Amino acid sequence: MLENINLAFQGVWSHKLRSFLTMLGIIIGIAAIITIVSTIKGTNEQIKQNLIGAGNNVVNVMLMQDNNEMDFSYTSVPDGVSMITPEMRDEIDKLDKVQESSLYHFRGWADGVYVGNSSFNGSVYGGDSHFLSVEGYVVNYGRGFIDSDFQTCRKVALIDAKTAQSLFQGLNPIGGTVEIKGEPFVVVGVVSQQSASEPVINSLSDYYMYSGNTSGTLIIPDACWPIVYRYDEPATVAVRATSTNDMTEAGNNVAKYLNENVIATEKVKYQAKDLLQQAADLQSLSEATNKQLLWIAAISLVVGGIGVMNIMLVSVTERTREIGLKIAIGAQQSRILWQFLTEAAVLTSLGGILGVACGIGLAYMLSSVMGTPVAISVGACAVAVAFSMVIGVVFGLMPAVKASKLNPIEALRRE
Amino acid sequence: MILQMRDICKDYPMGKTVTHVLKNVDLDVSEGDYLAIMGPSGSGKTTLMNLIGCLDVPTSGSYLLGEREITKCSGKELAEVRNKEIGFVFQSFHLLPKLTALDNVALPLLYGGVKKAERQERARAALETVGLADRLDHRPDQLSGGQCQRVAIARAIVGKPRLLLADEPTGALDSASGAQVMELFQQLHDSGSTIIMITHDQGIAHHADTIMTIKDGVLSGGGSDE
Repeated sequence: MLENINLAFQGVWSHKLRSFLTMLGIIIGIAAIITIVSTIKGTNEQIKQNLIGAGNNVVNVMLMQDNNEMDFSYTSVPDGVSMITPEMRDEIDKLDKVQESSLYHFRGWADGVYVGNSSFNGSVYGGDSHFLSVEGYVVNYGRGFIDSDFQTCRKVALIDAKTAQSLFQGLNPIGGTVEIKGEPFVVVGVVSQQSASEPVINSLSDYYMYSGNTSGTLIIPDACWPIVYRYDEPATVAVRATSTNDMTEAGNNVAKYLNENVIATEKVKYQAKDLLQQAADLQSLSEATNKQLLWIAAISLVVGGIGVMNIMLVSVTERTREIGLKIAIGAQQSRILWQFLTEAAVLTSLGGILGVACGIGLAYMLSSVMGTPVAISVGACAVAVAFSMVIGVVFGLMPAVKASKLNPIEALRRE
Repeated sequence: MILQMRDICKDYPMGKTVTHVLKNVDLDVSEGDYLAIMGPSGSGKTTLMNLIGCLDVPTSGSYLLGEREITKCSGKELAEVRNKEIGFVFQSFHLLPKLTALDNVALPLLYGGVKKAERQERARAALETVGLADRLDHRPDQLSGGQCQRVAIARAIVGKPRLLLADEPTGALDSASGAQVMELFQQLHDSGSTIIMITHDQGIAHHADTIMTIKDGVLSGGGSDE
């Protein structure tokens, strides 16, 4: 076998130009496939990163009605839902795959928030003492929340840099006053998320998909929430999972716990807002279009395979005398068959390897020209090379059989 | 007796008619024989040579080589017989152009499943026997015609076959090289090899101990040349 491979390499090398031209079909086909697969994988990872954030691992478990988030700015609180107590939060921390959890209230599009005459249209959060650590906030200026803020319902607020910019226009926000529903809150700190999810926006549809995350955040202690919003609003639980892949499980564990302990109705349920699932849905959408391209690329592989078959037939004809001699001095048919199969497989495998290299290059080139994301899959490259080898075997079979069936008398006589 | 042919016939269909190329050929060869088979072109001598060499099977008759009945062998067994029992020397050498003399000689051993170290060892010894110990790494295009044929003879004897089969071994050589090659066959014969040589050249045939002639598919003669 090794002998055959060695011989095949010699054969390929001694006809460099011919071998290269024969491989060209395979090279183009494999390169196209690797480019497409790399782009699909890059897009998928980008979607996942956009939605989940870079390693934040936080999944939100919120009250849902018919799979829709409940927005308490206009819906009333449904019957049969009890409040989540701080003791329950401690219990949630002990659930499987949960690292830490936090209870919070929020308004996605805040109303009635002003500094002077500028209004604010970002999100307002009322978080408990764990909120900053679970959501990964760090204090950039001023201070964070302290225990007495919660105990005495001190009306203080933390804002992020975007809010600081839009409400205070470059002035020092610390000590400034924000009016929420007519109540004055003192800004005590500017915070930012350590690993913020910053979506990469490539198109208008991307913008609409992620736009909710893009306009500023304001955080107050949850103890103050009833002062400005509703008194008996059920809390949402932010859960930091032990790892990104555990997010779904952690979310489901928390939702199950809450549904058993605070829900006494069938109409509403706590559900994890499963970003992994959401990412998967978006991914399958973008994959569907690209997968059709794969089929077109596959056709060029078949064409390449036919080219290999053609050149192998020529090679068998050229080497008729050699084959005849080998049969005359006692080479078994199977040996001749394997020799030619190996040669075809070596030829196409080399083509596959070159194709993978070209494909990776092409993917990066496309990425720099058109801004498409790229992620190289080692598995896909291995499969591509293996597949091109299979093409060699399949299309090399006919010429190899022809060689092994040669009549040695005729073959030796041929000039 | 290492070779025994009885009533061998070989027919070739030519369109609608059938050509009888060999007609009831009987042939006996004992160990150590040096036999020449002579005949003009079209006499059937090449067909006979192909049958003896197990490249072809007869239409009818029986052919015993060693202990084996060749007419009952499968294709796989025939390949094995060609590899182990017969050494071919062709008119046009049939060396593989890209292999060195050593690799060309070692080729039958490769197909016989001999390990690499032993292959090289035996191929080197065979090349020494034909007087080309200093040409191991030369490729055929770097050798003269006579040297090429001696490499081919080394390839034929490397597997220590029962029978050496030569088809016009001097046909492509000038007379000086031809004489060297015939000298080599004589040496091999002296050291005990069994040789069958096919030729149309009277001068070459006379090197053999026994000469038989074939004409129109009928083999005759067998009288000693001495």
